[in-house]
Amino acid sequence: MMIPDRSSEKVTIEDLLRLKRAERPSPEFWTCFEQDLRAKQLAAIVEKRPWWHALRLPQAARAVARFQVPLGSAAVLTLSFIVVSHYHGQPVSPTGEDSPAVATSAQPVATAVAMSSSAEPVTATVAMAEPTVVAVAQPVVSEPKPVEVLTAQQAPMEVAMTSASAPVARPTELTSMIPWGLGQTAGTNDASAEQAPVSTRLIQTSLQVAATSDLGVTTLLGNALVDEGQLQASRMPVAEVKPAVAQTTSPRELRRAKILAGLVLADNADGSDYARAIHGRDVAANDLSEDQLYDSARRLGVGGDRLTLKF
Amino acid sequence: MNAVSKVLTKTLVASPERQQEADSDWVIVQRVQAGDVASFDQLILKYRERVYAMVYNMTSNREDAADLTQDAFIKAFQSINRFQGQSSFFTWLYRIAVNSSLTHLRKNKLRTFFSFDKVHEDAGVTEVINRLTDKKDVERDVFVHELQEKLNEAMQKLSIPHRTVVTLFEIDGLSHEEIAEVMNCSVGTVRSRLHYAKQLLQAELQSYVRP
Repeated sequence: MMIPDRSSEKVTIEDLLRLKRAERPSPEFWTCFEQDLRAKQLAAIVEKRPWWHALRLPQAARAVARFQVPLGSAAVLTLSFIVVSHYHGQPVSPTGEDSPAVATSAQPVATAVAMSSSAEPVTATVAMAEPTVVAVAQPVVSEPKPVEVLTAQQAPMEVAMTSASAPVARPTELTSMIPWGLGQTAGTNDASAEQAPVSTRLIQTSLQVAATSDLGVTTLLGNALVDEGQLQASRMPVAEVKPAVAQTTSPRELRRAKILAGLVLADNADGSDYARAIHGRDVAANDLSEDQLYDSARRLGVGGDRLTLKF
Repeated sequence: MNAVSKVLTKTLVASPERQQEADSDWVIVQRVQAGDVASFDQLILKYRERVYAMVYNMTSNREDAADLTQDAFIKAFQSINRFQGQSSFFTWLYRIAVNSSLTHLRKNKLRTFFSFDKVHEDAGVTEVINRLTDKKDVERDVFVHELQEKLNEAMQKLSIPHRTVVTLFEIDGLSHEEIAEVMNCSVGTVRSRLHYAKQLLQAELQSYVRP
């Protein structure tokens, strides 16, 4: 009897997988399986289940799922309300700025004087009793920028000042724009003599800026400069730039600025001009005193048979 | 509309046998939910071989398959009160077993040990083996064992989703709709995966396949 050659018959993947389907365990296997399953079943009954299994979270989630759109909308609205209320609830800066972004990004005013003779910037830290305000008004600038005043003998003076809306309210380190400051920081008389014209130009520039600006110059040195002792002091009031909107220019302030400029010039004069400068200072002191007197006179009150004077 | 018909309408199983099966299962499940715990044994006896076969062909390891099958039944028993008849008990149990197997395979990606069950030759299997070889006795057994190894290696080279689809369709005999319900995907995805998996298997078992 001949064995037929079956090697040419068709065999498919499905046929091979039928072979795999025929892999089955023996009956003894099911006996062991049964015993193990019973043991596991008992263990599962005895075993204490965690408390969160009793919460039936899937069912709760299914119940909440019906309201997912209104709940999500309510959550978004609540979050938006909290954010907006928190945003508006931020405290206003002490300078009275309206814009919180500007108030938070206020930077200290830095003023530097670079001298071509020493080729190094001379910087002095200045403590102040009363602030001197020098501000230039500009229409709208979003970011406050530091004030830089750079002077040089051969280079034109560059004055970059803060914007009108800049809330620069911190005490600042001010490089000596004033001649006596320069002289002391330079440490030599020659340097002081060389710096005098620079200082003069600086003050003149400041006055020009003040005169041409809308806001002008607010000089609060006032009575402090009248005092001789304070004139000799190495430190001067630091310029505190107040919000330009809050400043008002009055003829009296302009007059004070001019007087102070004269004082500065007098202090740097030497030789024959010194006497004239001293005279000018005295006149200025008298003027300031008279100015104070006028202020005091406004406080004069007459009532009935009584004359009151408020100080 | 009673609960049984509600189950049947929601079940994607179309064949009358499966509908009858789902009907009887739902009755047993209701008894278990009412407190008749022993009735659950009927469900175990009814489905243990099918569930085991599915897990075994997924893992190609008889010990792992036994443990996973037992775990699937334990989980089903613990969660029987949550079963509300949205699908047939058979589909629900299969979903538990498939998820357990997938978790096990992902955890033990690098550890693959094969341990095979014996091939029980019936008429259909004998016919296939005779077509593949003319050898007799011991040589034939060796050939069958070698073929079994090659088949399991080829199955393990498939990705887990493709292996699952092939197992459920070709070995367990589930329909495309049932597989889609068990695997929580579309019927098109099932068909696509099945086609691709068969192509891969054909490439792997090229020496045995004769077109």
